[in-house]
Amino acid sequence: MDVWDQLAVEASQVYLTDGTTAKSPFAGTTIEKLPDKVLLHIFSYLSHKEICRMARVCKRWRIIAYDTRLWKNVSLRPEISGLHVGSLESLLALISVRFGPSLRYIELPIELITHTVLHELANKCPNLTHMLLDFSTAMQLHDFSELQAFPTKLKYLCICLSEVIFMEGFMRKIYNFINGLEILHLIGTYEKVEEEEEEVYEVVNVHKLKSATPNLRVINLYGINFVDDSHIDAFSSNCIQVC
Amino acid sequence: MPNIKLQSSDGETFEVDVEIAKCSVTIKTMLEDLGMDDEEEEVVPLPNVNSAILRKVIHWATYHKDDPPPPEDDENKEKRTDDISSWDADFLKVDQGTLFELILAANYLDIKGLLDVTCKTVANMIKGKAPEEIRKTFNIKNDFTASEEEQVRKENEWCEEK
Repeated sequence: MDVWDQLAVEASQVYLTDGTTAKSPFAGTTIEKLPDKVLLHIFSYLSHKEICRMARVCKRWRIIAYDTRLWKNVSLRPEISGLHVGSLESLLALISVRFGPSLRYIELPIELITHTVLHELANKCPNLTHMLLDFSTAMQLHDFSELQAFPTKLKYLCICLSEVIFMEGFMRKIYNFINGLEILHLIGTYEKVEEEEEEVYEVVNVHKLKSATPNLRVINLYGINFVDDSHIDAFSSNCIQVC
Repeated sequence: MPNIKLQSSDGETFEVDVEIAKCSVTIKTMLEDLGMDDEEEEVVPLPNVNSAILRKVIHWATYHKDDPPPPEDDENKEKRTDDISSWDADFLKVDQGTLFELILAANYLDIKGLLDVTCKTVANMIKGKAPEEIRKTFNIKNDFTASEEEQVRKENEWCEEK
């Protein structure tokens, strides 16, 4: 029994005073007496996984668990302690009914980065300002030729690159939407690669990226093995911080 | 330091240091709005808090009177529940009814520090439990029909582990 179970037991309906069992004067005050606002506050200390489980307790708890205010920051990368969304259909349903206008930050793994998902995010989540796109495990990109919309309010974008996938097809589609970007992280695969002397691919065109993001203040290139001085020069022209 | 009198719903009055009473935003606003600041004999009525709970709230506020103001909620930061101080944990070793009364009082009196720590305590009681265990722990009635229960299970199965 861990300390919290212990506490739960101690906090049950009956408590001990001077070695005798006494009924609490407030035994009638149950969790159901708490206003929605307070339950929401309690739920805000739970992980999304726990919140989903709480939706199954009763009708009132379901309504609170689905409150979009609990779904502002969502990670869907199961390998990195995020949630696992099994299908695109369920993700599309979640974007409109559960995330909605409250969503501010989302992490997407490669299999969920499709043009329909990005369209839905652009349409249903007007306050999405922070996004992480993880392409690091990609063997092949989805087809983005139909990509017409992309979240336009992004201030922060993190792209985890794969070393073998050329991103230009995708990047060309999003350049028009990311000119508000202030912080850009490009995460490479440098650490993952053993000492094999393979050919290094410049999977993202740094110069084009730079001209698409005039408001960039911070750029972090982590483990990117194709960076050279001309890239740094391009970025440092008006970035405050280059790491 | 001047004192003020707080009156509980059941008519008991408590004399409290003004600065301690002002950790309640509700009381602070009342004092400012009513210009009760310097009135010696003024009694602040708190019709939503009974004496047993008010005594505990004052006990908590007195212990925490020199705490820095609680930080604004940072939405980007994951909220922790394992940072309850040992004094607070001891203070909150009470029956559920008292815990929920304290939450209601902290909510009504608008005392963020107390509301946070009590809500964290409830969150810790919830963590790791299955829906049925939750119902048992908190005496909640399952008001789903069988088909609704199946539906809500489906709606949330994506959230469970692979």
